[in-house]
Amino acid sequence: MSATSSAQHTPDPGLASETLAVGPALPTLDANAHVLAPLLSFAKEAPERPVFAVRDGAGYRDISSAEFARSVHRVAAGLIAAGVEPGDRVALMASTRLEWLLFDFAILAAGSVTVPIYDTSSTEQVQWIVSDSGAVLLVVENQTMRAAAESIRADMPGCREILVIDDDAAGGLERRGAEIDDETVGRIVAGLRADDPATVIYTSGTTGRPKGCVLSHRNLRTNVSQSGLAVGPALQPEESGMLFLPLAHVLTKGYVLFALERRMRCAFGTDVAHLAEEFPLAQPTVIAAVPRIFEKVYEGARQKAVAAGKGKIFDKAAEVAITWSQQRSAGKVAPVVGAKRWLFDKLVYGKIRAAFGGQLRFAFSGGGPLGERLTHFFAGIGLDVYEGYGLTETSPTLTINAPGAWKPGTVGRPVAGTSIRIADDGEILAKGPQVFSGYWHNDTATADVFDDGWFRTGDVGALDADGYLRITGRKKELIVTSAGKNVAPAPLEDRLRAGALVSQAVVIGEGRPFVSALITLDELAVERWCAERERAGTPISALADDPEIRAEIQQVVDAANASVSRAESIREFVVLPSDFTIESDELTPTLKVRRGIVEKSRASDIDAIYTR
Amino acid sequence: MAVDPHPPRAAPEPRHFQLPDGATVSVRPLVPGDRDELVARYGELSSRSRRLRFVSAPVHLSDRLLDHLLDVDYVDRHALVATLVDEPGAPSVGIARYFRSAADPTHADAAVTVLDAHQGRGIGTVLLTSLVETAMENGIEAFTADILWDNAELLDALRSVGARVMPGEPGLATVRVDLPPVPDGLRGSPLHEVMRMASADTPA
Repeated sequence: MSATSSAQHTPDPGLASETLAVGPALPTLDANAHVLAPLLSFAKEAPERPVFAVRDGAGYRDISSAEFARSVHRVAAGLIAAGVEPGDRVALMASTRLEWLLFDFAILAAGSVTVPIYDTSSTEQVQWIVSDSGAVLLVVENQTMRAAAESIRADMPGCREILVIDDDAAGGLERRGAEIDDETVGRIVAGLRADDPATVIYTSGTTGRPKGCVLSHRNLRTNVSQSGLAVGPALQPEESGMLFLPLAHVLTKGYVLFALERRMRCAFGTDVAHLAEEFPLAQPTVIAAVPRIFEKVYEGARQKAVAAGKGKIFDKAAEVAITWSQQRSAGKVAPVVGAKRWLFDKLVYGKIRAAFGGQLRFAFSGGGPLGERLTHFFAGIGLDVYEGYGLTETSPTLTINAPGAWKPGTVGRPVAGTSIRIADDGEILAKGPQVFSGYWHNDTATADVFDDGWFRTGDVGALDADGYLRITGRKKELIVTSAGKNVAPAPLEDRLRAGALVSQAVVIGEGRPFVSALITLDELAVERWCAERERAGTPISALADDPEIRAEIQQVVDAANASVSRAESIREFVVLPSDFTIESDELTPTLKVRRGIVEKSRASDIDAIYTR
Repeated sequence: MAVDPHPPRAAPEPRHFQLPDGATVSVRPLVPGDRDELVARYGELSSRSRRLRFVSAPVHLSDRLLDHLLDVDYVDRHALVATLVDEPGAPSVGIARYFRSAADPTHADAAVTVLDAHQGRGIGTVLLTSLVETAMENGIEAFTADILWDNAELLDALRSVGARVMPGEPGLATVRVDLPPVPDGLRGSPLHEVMRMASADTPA
């Protein structure tokens, strides 16, 4: 590592203007506040109002707050009858659907703790999460998931029962709980305390097994208040929402709780692929999404324009939108830009807004970085996307952009009751009531992330003079996709390098829609392999696209993928024509792989993956 | 490999040190004949130690990597091997090396590795001390290294002696440690102290 090359890609922390930003004051939550309270008061004070809506034929069917709260009580009674005790963990593996929330709230109403599992998780992950959390019950969506879970039953000794949502798990529990009266459930709910754990959410570390983040009722409730205070009076009493991202993701969970406090109706999307159809049906006014959703809407609109022979107009309109927003941020919009924007509003922008249903007024983006250009583009077409920042460990929101306090390219200012500090080495440290107290049964990991009471985010950033945070890098070896999925590349790479023909493997996907891998071939192994096939003398550079080689590597990739969820799995790979070298700076002289340099020097190979 | 402008020097003589636990360690320069030894010892290294040393660690050292690791001239490219001379077969248990930077000849990229079973015995300290002495004799003023943030103990120790630790590539810190201006300044200096503290011997 030479000093000169390090200066090129490393910001000097000495240039950061501020090292501490503190959010506004935050009222303390009651000691008996809990996550169920907003739902229960909704059901009590506005029993007829819809709380959720589910797809029904060509439209949506509403579910009233009273009806939903009633089901929560009855399923909770069933869980109690099934032997679930306060403090027990119950694992929940399902896609985003009404039953997910029904079970989540019922688990809480039984005094127990929800352990969400992504519906895309691998069997290995399910086994780990269920056994590590000590879940007594596993609720899965369908028979396929049940069959997978049954195959590892012996390795989940604490799990007494597996229930299947599609086989009327809810109805079955309601019947089993018929003997348990509402008062019993009521007593348990009344006994909930703010500092009781509400959920244990597993997140991948850079190495080793996923760790369970224990979030308390206080963590989650506080974060909802914090987001609400940041948004301020901009939201109207009657907003409507939409759910389409995994509820196992704490961003979605926080959004549901926010919607309940605001008494918004939330419609369930049936699949991210159906959003184009379902946004107009549900007409949300407020959404929370990951960058991938905004990218998809942008790309979809552009492709449509290109197909209609209007690609040039679209690109021009996009440039105008971006310029307009940039100029507005800088304080002055040139009249000619304003005029062009007015023109394109009718021609182009209105159609993009219609893709979100036409009523969308507020969008929050989190889970990963939203490109500054994309932020300006949406702002230019009349849709402000407020980007925030946080981690599962922080429930999740630490900082947020908001109406009247918005700087594109930053992740906003600390929410109320939250302090953000930049450590000497550039790491972002956080303190606040939304920060978790630790990982489930893993004191070592917990001690590692706290430093004198400050939570170490593992991200690197800088604060500007107004207290806005900008994320500039990452200390932990983690990739965050534009779908908001955290992926640890090291364990995947270890498995890839176990392949006989593989020399080096670099897993990439930062800010990309999916994960892929760059693979280099081991010269000796490939020589042997060629000789065995009477292809001796084939140069390594000629083998990159060889179908036989690709088939061999595909097997290695499949084996690596078995350890992770579909969202984390390697969707595409490239066999590089040459190995990494010191001359190209891809390796340090001491032979350490530099991911950032590899991503730059192999940019054309990477682009080929993502433009396929 | 590029043509070397500096003709290789003769390998310096081995030196002996006593470890805190009483064992005697010999520190000698790496020689081309160490090829098989490198392969074998790498095979014994735990996956954690491999990751800390190479970040994206190969399953085995290929010929190309070995060529590079064995290409030492004891001035610009130097490596030292630690062997336990009292033990049967005098096994080699650690290695430390530096490569002078092409961009700034007063800087060198450094690394040290000790076999897992022997970590914590002070072998890394002995290796680094010798490496620093040779580096200073050869006009090197600072060591640099890309170190995984996961190697927190080492980073903390380096920080405590005033090393510059900055975010580098994803997952990596770029570290610079200034060497004392005169060779005699090493003993008792903060750098010597950290080499002693870092005797957990986790790879740099």
